[in-house]
Amino acid sequence: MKRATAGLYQSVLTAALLLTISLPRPALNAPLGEQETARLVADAPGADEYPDAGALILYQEKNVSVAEDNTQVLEEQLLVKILKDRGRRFGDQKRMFDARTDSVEVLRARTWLPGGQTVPVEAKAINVITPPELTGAAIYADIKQKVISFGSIAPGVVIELVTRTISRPDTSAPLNLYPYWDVEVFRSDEPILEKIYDLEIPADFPEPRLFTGGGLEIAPDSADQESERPKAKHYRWEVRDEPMIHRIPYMPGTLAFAPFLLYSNVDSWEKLGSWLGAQFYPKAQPDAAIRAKVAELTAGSKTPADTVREIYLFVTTQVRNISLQLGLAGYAPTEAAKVFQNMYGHELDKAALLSAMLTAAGFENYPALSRADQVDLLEPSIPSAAQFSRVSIYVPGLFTDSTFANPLYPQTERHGLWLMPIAQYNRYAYYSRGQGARALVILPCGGTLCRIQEFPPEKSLSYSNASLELDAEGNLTGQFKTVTDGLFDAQARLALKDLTPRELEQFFRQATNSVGEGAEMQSDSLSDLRDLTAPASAGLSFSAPEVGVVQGEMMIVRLPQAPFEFAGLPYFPELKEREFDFVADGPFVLASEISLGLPEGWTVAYSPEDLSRSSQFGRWNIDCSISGGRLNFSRRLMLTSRQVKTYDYPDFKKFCESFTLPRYSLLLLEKKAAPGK
Amino acid sequence: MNTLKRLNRLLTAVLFFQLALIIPAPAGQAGRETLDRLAAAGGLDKYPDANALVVEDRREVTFQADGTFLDRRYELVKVLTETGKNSYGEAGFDYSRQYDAVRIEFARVIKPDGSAVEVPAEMIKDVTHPALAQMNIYDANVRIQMVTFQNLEVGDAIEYAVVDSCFLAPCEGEYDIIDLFQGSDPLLHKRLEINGPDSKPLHHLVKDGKVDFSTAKKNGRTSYVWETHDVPRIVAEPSMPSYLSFAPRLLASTWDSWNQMSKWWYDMTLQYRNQNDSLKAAVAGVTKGMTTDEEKIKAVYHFVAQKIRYMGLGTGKKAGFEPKPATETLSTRYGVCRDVAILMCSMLDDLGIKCYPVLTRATQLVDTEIPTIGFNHAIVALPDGKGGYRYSDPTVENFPELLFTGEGDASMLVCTPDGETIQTSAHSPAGDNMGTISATSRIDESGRLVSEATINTRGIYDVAFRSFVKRYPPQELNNIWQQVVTGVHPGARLLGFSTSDPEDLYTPFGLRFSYEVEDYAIQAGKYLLIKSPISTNSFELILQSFLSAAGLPERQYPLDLGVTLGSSQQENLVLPAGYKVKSLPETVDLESGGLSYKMEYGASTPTESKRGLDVRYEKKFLIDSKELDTQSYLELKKILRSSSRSGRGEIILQKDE
Repeated sequence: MKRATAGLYQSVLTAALLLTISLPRPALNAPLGEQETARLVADAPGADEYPDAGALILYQEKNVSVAEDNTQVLEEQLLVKILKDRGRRFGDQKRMFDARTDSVEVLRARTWLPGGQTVPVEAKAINVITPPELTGAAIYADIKQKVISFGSIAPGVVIELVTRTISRPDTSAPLNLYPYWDVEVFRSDEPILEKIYDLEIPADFPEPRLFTGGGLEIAPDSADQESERPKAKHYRWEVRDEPMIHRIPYMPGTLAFAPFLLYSNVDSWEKLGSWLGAQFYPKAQPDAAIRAKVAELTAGSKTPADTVREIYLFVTTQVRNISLQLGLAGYAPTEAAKVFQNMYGHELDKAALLSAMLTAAGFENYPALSRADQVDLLEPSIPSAAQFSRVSIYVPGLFTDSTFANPLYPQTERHGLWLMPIAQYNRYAYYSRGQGARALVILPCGGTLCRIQEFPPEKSLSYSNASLELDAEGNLTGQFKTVTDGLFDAQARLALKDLTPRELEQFFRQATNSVGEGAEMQSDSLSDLRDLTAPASAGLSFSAPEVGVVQGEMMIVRLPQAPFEFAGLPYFPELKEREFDFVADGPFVLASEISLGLPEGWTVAYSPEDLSRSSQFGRWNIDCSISGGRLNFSRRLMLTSRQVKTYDYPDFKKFCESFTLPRYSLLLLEKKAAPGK
Repeated sequence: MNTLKRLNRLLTAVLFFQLALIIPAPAGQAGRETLDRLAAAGGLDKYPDANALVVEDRREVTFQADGTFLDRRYELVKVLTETGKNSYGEAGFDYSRQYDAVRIEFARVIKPDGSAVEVPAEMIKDVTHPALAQMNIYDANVRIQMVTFQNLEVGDAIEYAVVDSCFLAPCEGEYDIIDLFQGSDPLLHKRLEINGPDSKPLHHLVKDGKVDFSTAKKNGRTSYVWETHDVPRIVAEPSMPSYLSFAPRLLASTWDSWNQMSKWWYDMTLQYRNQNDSLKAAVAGVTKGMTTDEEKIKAVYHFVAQKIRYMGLGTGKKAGFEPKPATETLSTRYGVCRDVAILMCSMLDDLGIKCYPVLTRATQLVDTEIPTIGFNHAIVALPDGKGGYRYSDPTVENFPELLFTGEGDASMLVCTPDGETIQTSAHSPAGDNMGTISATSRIDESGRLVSEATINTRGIYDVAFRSFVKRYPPQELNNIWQQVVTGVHPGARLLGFSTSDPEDLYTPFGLRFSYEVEDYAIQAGKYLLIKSPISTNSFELILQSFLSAAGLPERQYPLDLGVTLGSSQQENLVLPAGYKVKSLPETVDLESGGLSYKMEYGASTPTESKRGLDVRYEKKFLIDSKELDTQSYLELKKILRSSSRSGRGEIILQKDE
């Protein structure tokens, strides 16, 4: 009997232990216990096990709980071991919050030394500042940053931080909806040994929409588990041993490859659109002053396209931009009348003004939220404003906007317009990021997802034409003329639009110098970059000494490219191989033509051969001919891909390399033998 | 004291009255005088190169014997372009809660029709200063009042008056100011008046320009007035020096001498050069086994530089001037420049090695004629035994030697008990800031190149590469270097990359790498063209980075490199057999002042035992000055022209029949 009892007792104990292990950890009413933390710290691996890492995220737990009154509480515990000097950046932890509605409390902050002693963070080392990037936007939002600065930071120590952020609900509560949502990524620039995200909501709240990607899975049965908080249900996600991200150029956003979580309590895009619209539309109404301005701006308009354009250009170029991340100050813009009075605004504000002005002019228009990635990363099953970072105004219908037509590649089909109110450096109605992606168009009846127009490669054009003369000493004279559109046009405006005449002169003189040291500029030209309806173009004429290098009886000439940086190849795939897809702005067309007068007394020993290549990524061709003492050389590259998968990357690299080989821009001349010799 | 207070109140009232003379008509309408001034100022027709016009800049400062002051500033600016609108759409006025307070008396936009739009209170925000957080300094007391101007359009003007009241002088009993009389916008009229007690006479000087000056005495006080009209704007050039080193500027100060300032800071910092058991243990630990002072100084310097991270909290009674106690900096393992300087001093004190804190200015020389607190950095001085000093900068984390070579030719105020005058640190020649790139490369019959190269570093090269390597994980370093080698040829592939230990500051830092390029040589008809890979300057990252600012054919302002520079490149190219040299790029040998450039190719003759050609490429470029005046810049351009020409040259080979 006793043995049976003992065995039973053991079984019960074992079962209890197993049950304890399998039960989810309760919500973070208290941080990890002292012993558990000390154990984690003592057992933490080091630089030997993670030679690449600057620090190790030993443990990170985020517990989000939504209360009955819609207050949200985020409790976070973080343990990071510093491995190298560059990991010391973890010694200054920052927590952003909106001082109007949030509070951040530091529950525990200390440094664990290698011997096990702890050094608490002193009160004076906890400061509240305005984030530097938001100084200019202080009129909008009381966004603050609590900075916790840890002492005794050195390789081998562990920082421990426990914070609680309380966010009060928005009392205006449009449509009586209190949305909650989040995007959480489970991978970072340093290895993560353990990361937990726990969401707790009242039991009588509807199920939120959940989505995980990148291999992240919800912990089994977590929705059914009881928490310490009565009448609540919670959900839990966990990762272990997540490797660090090794950053490489032209990477996609982290949602494209890392484990991530998206959730929202909004159950449809329609409803989200209604919620956003209930905040936007009342503020986007024209008043008498706005109507008067619209009338003034459009007095000379001959077509509807003209009217839309004039209004858009006014808002984009005359109303000063204030930089503020979408959502940081909520989703209700300032009244359009006020934005007009202020003559400044952030993106959402300017969208409200643009909408009000278009409405005053009688145009149907809708705000639209989108992402600013190069490829579409929107998750359509999770209606959440947190997925978006950009606002535009969509004007549906029937535009054949001839001013947007490229003179070389006219676009004539009718289309709607996606107008970005802060795109002061873009050609009218052009945008680079977000092409082809889904946007949430906010109709008065609710929201709907639509695809943003994609532009063909010809819409991003860099075309350069050069007429040059080379003399027997290698001196080069001539002129370059460059016309740009789309992507290249935006680069040109960004570089030059705000310069004064003398600053522009400096630019052109430096550009001339890039043809060859000692080059002198004779004249320059630049289109009116404030006119966003015409493509940006620039030109210069010059004389440059010894561009052709005479070496005895030979002359080496590198056929020059257009001397404007904004007109050149925007990127090049330099890495041998990649862990992540190659993602860049595009597609585009890069073209150049050179007519070069050759010096008398010299023959061509070598010039580039005619060549062309076609691939799934685009095509390029090089043509070179000599006649009448002139070399005629043209190069054209069309890249049609914005994203190249890792398995296609080697072919993509070969394709790009082959276009840029030095032999395709080399001219070798040889002195003709003197008669009789 | 009562008399003084009454006098202060009277003076304040007088100044308010004066200010009232320039305060325009009531809100809603600008005053006639202001409108006339704006109309007379003109616009783009008169100033085609301006973004805005500073029509009026008036400043009235009243300082007291204790160093406190009232500083009233009035500005009227006319906006001419979109850029001007963006620049003046906001105005910020900084202050420190520990020392002063700022009050915006009024701020408004004046439209061309004379109407005025006042800035409402909700558009004036008091926030922490953004510049500090960017330097990893978190001090909620250093703040900026941001004024956002409403309804500002091109053609409008902004007008404001601000009062800065200093209630606690950082340097008690002294007042000083440096004020510029030229800026990035045309300045139509500027007037600066400083009023101070006769007991505290102002020493003053206007440098690099002419400004009208007058003075008057009344009731035991003296007014000093400087005034200028129609000053053209400064058009920025790449890598130009700070305006404070060439623009017309006023230096004014009640400090009698640099010695006085030296003594003041020595006295302020002395109490913080403390020690405790932990500090003594740290000293003993880092100097264990060392017998010479030199070894110990270096060990202490390395310890402070590498183990104390740069981070500041702005604590202390005299934030910005007072360091933390050395024991606190040691225990917290963080501090700013003055903190680590004092810590190093304390540790050397424990060893009985004499040393002093030093005030200096990074990036430009201090005007020596008038003592002003124009310093932005603190380091350490050690007597050199010959009546002078040598210096050490423990803020620079990754530098092997005591003083970063970029701090040669810099102004130094060594702070001692008896005071010192301002001095200049020794020149750091270009050879002390040297990058040496060496390579052995081989091209085979198929045109394939394989190259093995090393980069050895000194000075700026050392600290730059060492910091770069410490910043990135090894895999990312490889990726970055792969990008670097594609500068030689788009098809280049990195084969290997390694570095010496960046933590070992006793060993000069070096990199070693190898790469290959298929089809590197260009078959050009009957010739074979080969470029020395090193000659592409793809690995010459530091010098090329500095010289990227030398694109203008000539300059109006000096080219400020900030450091002397030297670069040496050597490559031995082993070429395929069966070829002879048709031509090589010409040798270049140029020297002018502190600039020298030599480039040479040489080819060996094939022998029976060694049938392939060897071509040797060598280049050395030295810039022995931190700043090139406009004439020296033209000499640099001549060198760059030769360098560019020779860089475009190729080794031309011909089949050896």
